[in-house]
Amino acid sequence: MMKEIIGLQQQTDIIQARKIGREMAKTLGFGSADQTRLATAISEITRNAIQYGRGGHCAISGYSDRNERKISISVEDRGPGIPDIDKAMEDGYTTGHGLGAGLPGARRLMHEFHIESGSGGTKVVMGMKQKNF
Amino acid sequence: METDREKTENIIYKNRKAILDDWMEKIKKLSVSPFTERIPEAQLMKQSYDLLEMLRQEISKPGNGEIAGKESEKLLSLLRNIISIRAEQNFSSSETAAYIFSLKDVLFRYFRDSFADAPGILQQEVMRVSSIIDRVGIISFDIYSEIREDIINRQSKAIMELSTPVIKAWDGIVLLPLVGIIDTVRSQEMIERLLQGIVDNEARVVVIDISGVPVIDTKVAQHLMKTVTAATMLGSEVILTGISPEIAQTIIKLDIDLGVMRTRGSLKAGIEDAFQLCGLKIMPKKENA
Repeated sequence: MMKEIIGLQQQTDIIQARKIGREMAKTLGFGSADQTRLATAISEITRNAIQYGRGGHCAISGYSDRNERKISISVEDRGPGIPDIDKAMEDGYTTGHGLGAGLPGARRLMHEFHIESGSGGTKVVMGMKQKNF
Repeated sequence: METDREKTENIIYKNRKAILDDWMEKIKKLSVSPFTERIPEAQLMKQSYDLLEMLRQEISKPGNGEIAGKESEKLLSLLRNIISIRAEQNFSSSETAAYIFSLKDVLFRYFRDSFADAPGILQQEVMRVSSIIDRVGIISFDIYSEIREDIINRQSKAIMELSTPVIKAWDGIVLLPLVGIIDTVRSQEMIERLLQGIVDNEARVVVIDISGVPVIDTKVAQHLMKTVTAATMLGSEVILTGISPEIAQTIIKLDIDLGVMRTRGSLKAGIEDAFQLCGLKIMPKKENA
């Protein structure tokens, strides 16, 4: 079981988070396409946390046993929350000036994706797993 | 009647030359590569003398040792001055802190001798001065990190400028190889340089190579699209090259439409395309028959 926690305050923390994610995925034996997908998803979600959520933290954990290998990302921010999650998960919807592809894109990049949001902030938990042979 | 505070101040004042010499001795032994090899001794002496003077004034002040207010401004600006020189000279943070803290031992030796018959006062004054020096140490540490951050920011800016070259590949063809992370600041820089490059070279075709960009997320894609739009407005065709299979898969999952752009897998294919757009062709050299 591996676990890393990265504080999210500024742009460079995004780079740090996805670097750690990519390295952990590599250590666990994920292929380069999966590593890139994971890094991209982390990039999207952590950027949201910094841009809209006034910062927070990102926890990356992973394990590999006889059956499967799995990497989980949990990103929490202290922002005002997302008023309409369904809308936010739609392609092309943005309240900023982005493409509106970040959240729905990240969901498609990962195998598991869960988001909850309230007035105290937003939490995104996502995972990627693979059978070990 | 002299107060304890005044007594302490007097001890420092009367012994200031000896204290300074002792402190300098201590400083010289502080780190593996001695301070005096990196700072001229006269400069170190002057800095330390000024600092000791300021500290003496701070110690003479009534109050709880809070370093703030008008009287402390001179001390703070002196600290900033000394530490910025240290940071530029690549002293480590611990060396910078050790420099300040090393004064404690020296001072307390003199206090012990002078207050030998009043252990209560000695203890009280040692505590008081110790807490002042601790605060100065903490402030120095803050200043040090601030200055180092400044240096790092300056350096990363310099690297950014270096790493966004616009290269003339052929008459009418410019090449923009992107390496590393593309953020908002850098993309601004990128667009500016590219547009200037297009104008300077009267470029008809721009080849942007992203082989060296590790992650293309929606933000980066957006920056790329803006760059392409800007170049198109100047009348150039843009060819995006160096998209790895992994990145292509990611872009599809993100549902970003790069279809509006002319893309090629390799830089080679992109250059070939660019030649074609300019009405040129690469041919094997004909051997004279």
